[in-house]
Amino acid sequence: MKILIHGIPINSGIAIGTAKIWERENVLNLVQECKVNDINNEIIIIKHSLDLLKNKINIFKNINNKEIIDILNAHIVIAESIVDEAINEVTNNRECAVAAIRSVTMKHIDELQKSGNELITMRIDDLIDVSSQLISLILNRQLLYDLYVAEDANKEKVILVTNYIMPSEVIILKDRLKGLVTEHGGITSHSAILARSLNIPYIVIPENTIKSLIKTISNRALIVDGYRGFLVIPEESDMTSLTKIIDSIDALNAQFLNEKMEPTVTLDGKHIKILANIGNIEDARLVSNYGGEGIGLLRLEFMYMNRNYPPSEEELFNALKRISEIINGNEIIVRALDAGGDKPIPYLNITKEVNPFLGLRGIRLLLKEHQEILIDEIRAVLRASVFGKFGFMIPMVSSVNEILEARKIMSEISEDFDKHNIKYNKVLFGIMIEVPSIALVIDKAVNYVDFVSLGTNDLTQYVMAADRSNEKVQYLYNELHPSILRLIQNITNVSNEHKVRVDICGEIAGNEIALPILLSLGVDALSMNPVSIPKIKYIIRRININYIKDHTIKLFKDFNTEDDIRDFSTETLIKIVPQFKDLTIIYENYKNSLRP
Amino acid sequence: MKILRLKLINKAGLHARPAAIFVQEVRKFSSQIIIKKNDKSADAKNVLQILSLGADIGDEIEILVTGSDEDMAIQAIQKLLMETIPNMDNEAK
Repeated sequence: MKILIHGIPINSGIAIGTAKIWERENVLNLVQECKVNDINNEIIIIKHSLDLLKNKINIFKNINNKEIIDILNAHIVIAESIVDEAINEVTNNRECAVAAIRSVTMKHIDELQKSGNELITMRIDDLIDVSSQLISLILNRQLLYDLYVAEDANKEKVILVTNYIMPSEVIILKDRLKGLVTEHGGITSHSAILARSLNIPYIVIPENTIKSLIKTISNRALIVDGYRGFLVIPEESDMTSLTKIIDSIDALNAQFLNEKMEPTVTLDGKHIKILANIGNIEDARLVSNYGGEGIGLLRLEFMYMNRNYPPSEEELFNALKRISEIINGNEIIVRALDAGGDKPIPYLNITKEVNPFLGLRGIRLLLKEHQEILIDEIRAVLRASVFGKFGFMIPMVSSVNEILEARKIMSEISEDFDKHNIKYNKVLFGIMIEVPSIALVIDKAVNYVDFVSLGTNDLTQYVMAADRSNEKVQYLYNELHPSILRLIQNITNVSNEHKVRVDICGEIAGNEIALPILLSLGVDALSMNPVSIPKIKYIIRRININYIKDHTIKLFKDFNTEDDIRDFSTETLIKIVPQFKDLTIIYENYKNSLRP
Repeated sequence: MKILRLKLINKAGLHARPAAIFVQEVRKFSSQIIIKKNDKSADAKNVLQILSLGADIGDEIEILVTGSDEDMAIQAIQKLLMETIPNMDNEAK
């Protein structure tokens, strides 16, 4: 068993099946400009294509699935609008039918992109989807997915690996998809919404990976792990047992979703805050759908991408206000811009560094070279605090001095607001704990913060001195290594004593195997990819912290090998949810495959 | 002409599915219906134009209805944007 790619989970669940690779072309690119004399004929052609498309859509609407019906209805309305405008285009510019549809589509893609609203730009997918279908119908061109369906006579369910997938294709292929892997897409795309409503495990992998994978995976067995975001190649010899295991896990996902709206309280009555990690406005719309209580990590980087200068205080404020409205004023923890040599932003003129992970990144960059950005962000958060509950945290903190400097800037801004009668509410101030040095002086740091949030991904890298992206040292990158856990233990002990809240926003927060340990240690809030929330909630609701706590703490002192703690946590988990035994067998296999 | 001013309260604003539902409803009326947001305006019966407005939660919009069934149209639009579409947020999966 070998993990091929670490992708992003889009829909949870796990599937095993034969990989089918589909490298596709964009139908819109096939259309060339052309002019006609007979306008009426082109108008008839366009109207006819709309009728054909409506017939086709109506066949698929005959299904008891609200998401599918809604999206298909939206496609009909989009098609009608495209056709109306395409007919004008033919009349005014004498364009032929397909060229007119293409011009209308391109014009609106351009306008939607300019709207600067991500959810709307994502609907470009639907626009391209509908106009590609109209054009294909006119050119009497078999759509690629029609071919795809026809060529495979035995109709075996497959794991589809493709550049991108359009919503109508998910609907048409719904009975053929065991799992879905695309290079482009996000959790709020219509294709993702459909995959969720059809229970198809789905992950997104980095761009241009398919090309390099074709030889390795074509027509081979693959595992899509929508819990972890992994794409895995199993050993042929394990196939029978793996297929059995994975099929038995299938029902688990539905159980998780059943309870996603229930309160997250352990059997012994402790409420654990469950929050979402969000990197754009759009994903915020899904937080409550997954049962999240708020946003525990709002990454601001999206505000700084694809532009030539930083966003103004006003832009930041508007975005924060909007997100707050979307999640009904629930808590949002905003993280200051986390840029650096490893995450460059061209206009910030970040100098090239030999070792960016140990360089001028996070709060270091903001305090040393871009205080104006930190100031704009704090001002925006304070102003937005009138509309909802806000927290603000700084990343990559390594010394108490950095905390004091950032706090000073924040209090100067508050004073300025007071002087000018600008309204604001209390904004919690916190730090991310990623650097071992701050973790080791946590007893001093807690004097100056309302909360700490553990970024366990970087913390693990720095403690283990193992680069997460370096495959050769992956076996050392272990978030459950006792060294990390002892650091966390110290942080929770000191913080609980000082009544400072402890959040975890690293990937470990969505990892069920870590849950019994983290809860034993006294963590207050977990912030994760929204897709993981139902699973984590389900388990928390079945854990009795008092029951396992003493044993966990004892194990922290008495362990023999580094795996002892993880094994205990796994055993605890299996006692709570027996079906996890099957999942952990698979994860054991992943882990063993990483060992040298 | 009748004018309606309101603030969008549903989670996704006038995006694809809500916009499509909106368009299907207003097409039932013969009146000319224009939506305005800031300095941009759109034909309410054309979903592409509505999407281009980028009208999101919290945005103030203005709806101008002119025609023989303008009274009924404006009532229906008010109900749609303030009740029917926002209620869909609660049913969403």
